[in-house]
Amino acid sequence: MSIALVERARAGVEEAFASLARAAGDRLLAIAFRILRDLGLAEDAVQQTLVAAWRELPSLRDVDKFDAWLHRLLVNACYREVRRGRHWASNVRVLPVDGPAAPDAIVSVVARDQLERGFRRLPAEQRAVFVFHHYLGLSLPEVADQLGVPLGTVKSRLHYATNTLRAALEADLRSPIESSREHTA
Amino acid sequence: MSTDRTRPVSDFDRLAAAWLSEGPTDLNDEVLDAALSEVSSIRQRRPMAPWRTSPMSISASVGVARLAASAAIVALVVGGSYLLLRQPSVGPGASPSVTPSPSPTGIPIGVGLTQPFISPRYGYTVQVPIAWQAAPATSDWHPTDGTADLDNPMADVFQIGPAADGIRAEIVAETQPIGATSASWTAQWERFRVPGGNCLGHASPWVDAIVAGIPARTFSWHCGDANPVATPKDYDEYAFLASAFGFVIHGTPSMVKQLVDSFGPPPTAVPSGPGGPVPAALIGEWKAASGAGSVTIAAQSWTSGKYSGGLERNGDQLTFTSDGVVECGGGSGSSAATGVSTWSLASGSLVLTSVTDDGCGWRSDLFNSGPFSRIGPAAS
Repeated sequence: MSIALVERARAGVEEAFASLARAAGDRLLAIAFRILRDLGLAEDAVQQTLVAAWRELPSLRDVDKFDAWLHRLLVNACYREVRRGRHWASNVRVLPVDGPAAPDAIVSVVARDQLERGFRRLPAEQRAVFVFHHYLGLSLPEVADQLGVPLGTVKSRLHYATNTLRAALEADLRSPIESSREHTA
Repeated sequence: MSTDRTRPVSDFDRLAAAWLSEGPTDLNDEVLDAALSEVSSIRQRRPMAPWRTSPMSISASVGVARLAASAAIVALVVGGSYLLLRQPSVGPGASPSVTPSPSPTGIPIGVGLTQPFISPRYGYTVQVPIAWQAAPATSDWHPTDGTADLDNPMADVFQIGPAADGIRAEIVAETQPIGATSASWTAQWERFRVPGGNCLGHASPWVDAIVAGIPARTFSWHCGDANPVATPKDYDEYAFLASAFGFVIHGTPSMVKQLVDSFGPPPTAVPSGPGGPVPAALIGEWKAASGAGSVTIAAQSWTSGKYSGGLERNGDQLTFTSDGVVECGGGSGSSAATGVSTWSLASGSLVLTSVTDDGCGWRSDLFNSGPFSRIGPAAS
């Protein structure tokens, strides 16, 4: 991210903003999709984010925080998408498998399905913390700073999200035979 | 069979990161182009460039004559707002008064004369420094429909001079949803609210507060600058239920303080003043407790079953007209059948009392069979 580019965009130069948008677009979509788990909603959130960023950019005081600010706008847009309740898919979506985002061999089909189902049960706020920590690799203080919530809240949200997803996975670990033994013991 | 079945959950972080790495990472060019196309058609919010299109200086309306002129100008601008600023008909705030306007956060909010602002859409009153500008709301606010933005045209927006970048406050209100209580409404707003807006920073937790003697909830937002002095982007927010409206007051802390300290709920009975649309608190579908029937009230019309007509408020009276002889019911009346009723609204109960024989006898009978309770939301 070029500070000079941000300053030019903040001054109203559309070409500069377009360059920033092109540079950030893929990253924004990747984050939005991982929070929303729906490509259409993610694209809507990114579009809203870019428009809001252009409109509000003159109010950004610290241009070196542009990326973090953009993440903030994106998460807010994702929250709005969730709360509008539009197209909130309840079914598991088949993920695209092309290019660098093809399924990781670490994740089995079964685990992927369990994670997907578990993740969809999470509130949007927990999803955002989970994605910022595990996908963007941000530390918890960094997540708190970018999302604008206290560190304790971040820890709490991550804790609940992790527990939910672990429970989903552990349920899958229990074979039918084991479950049957437990029930008859 | 997948090896994941035997994977210990201590590998959870690695598994989660691997799972999240899957999925699309490329933004469709069409989406980017659409966003940039939209960008080219909207202006940035800038210092010196108001974020609203119809500013009105409150200081322009200190005198009665200047007040009238200002109201006329703004009425033209907003195209439908029937009242912006006027002296209150009663009470100690009838004249502009000198009020110190402290600025605990260091942001100037205007000092000196204050002037009452009566919201033409929501009916509340606040006392604001004459240096402020006001842009009244021109459309309804429906937060549960996803309209979370607190801005024009749904909000009454207050701003301090053009050099004050971002120093502003807004007041919005929605008609009290059916069955909502103060606690349930504020709890719903808290769940719905996305703190933070468009800056980096931290929000305080929601806490209890009092606005005009009414229980409220409030939180503060700080943009997180290293400089501890408040910035124009910091904001406070209050949410509360008053006079059958759910209110949110939001904006620059010092301005919000002024608005909260001087807030007067909408009258639950009778607004005085010239004719115009009915108060927003009356808009909706109402059913007589007696079971005699129901009436749907809109800003300038009414319907009851197959009958309908025009509607206008004149002070404490509502004037009902009918669309025609047949609509008035069996031809017993005239096409100009007009009925006048007084009205009052208290604790969500509407009382209509006919004061003239309007030629539509069934209408008088219905109105006099009240009180009415709300059974439907505000008309669209």
